[in-house]
Amino acid sequence: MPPHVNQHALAWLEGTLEDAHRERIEEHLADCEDCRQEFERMRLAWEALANWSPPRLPRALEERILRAQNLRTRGMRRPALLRIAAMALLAITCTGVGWWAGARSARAPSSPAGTQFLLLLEEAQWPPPAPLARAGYGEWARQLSERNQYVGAEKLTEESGFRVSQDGRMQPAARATGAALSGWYIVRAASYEEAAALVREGPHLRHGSVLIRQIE
Amino acid sequence: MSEAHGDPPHPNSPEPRDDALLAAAIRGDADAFRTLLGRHGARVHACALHLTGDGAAAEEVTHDAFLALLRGGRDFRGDASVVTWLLRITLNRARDHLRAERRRSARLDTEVTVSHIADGRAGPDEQLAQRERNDCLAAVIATLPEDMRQVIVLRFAAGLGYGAIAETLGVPAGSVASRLHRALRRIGDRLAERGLTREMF
Repeated sequence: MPPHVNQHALAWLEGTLEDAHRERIEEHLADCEDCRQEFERMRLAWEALANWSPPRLPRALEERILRAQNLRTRGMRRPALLRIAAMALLAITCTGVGWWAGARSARAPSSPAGTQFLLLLEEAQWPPPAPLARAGYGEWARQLSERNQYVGAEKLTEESGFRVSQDGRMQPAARATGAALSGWYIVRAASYEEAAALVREGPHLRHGSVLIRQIE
Repeated sequence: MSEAHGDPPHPNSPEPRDDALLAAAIRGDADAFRTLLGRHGARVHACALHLTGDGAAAEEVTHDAFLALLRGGRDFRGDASVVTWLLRITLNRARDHLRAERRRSARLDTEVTVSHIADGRAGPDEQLAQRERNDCLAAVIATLPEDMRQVIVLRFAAGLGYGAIAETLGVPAGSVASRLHRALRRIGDRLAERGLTREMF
């Protein structure tokens, strides 16, 4: 394609090319089969893209984002909730995930309806063998929400993270002490057993275990 | 080229501007956040979907991008528009996802994962045809090199003008035009190879 055609092809497609340039290009295209074919290919792409229907935002995703924002806002107003979650995370990482998961759930007392539980998603392998962007979690959250059992959730990044020790030093977190956490949920349930049932409904057990802690 | 749909309202418009909505959302105004999500959610999701080629990943990228907007919003100084800032986050998150996925070489088939993108406003027959065209187009876009795919997605899925695309990508506007030009030629070739014509669109 000659430079003057090449230079103005996009503007022609955009419909913003001045008449003089447009006529000059059209004259050339009328005489040059190669350029005409190339230009027609660009025009095909342009018209396909101009009539493209990009996807709408899925309703379930929209609701999930709004719930996350709502939880964040409530966290700003009631910092105790997130502080509790952070303390639970710290307790787990200091104490060892396996012990907590095994010993505590067995002795868990029954809880009144509406009690909130923190669900910590643990990965069976770290780094995880598949991306943490996985199907099924949004649908699970939607189902929980429909039953008024969803309070909030966040996904963690695939980094191992860091730990600040009591002397204030920051060090990379090690695998054995809680680095393999991929996210958390807070749900409403009547008991530990019901919270465990919610976990079994969800998608995470395909990827690892889930630690349940009651929020005070 | 004029800026396309969904851009921030004109300064004299009664509609609240994106930066005002963002400031309110950061203060905890749920309605302001909902308006921002309604204004830009679809374009962020569309970009994420076509940059990752993976529906589940696109949902995570979209979710993360909007929450990152809230978390990082206090640092927003207005030297970029909210939408280009949001899309920059989206591009970075999508790139992170692709890098992680490449390490695991577990990429899903775009032709399958983007197949839900037909517009529900059309009738059943038109929906099917539209879906087939969208799938074909998405599959072609997925084969483009990343720099070309980015400009196509930002121009046609996000509806940005050249200036906003340049700002989002951090490249000169001339580079945007040349990438777009090359991308159109390549897409046109691939669509023609598949027997598609302008009349079908």
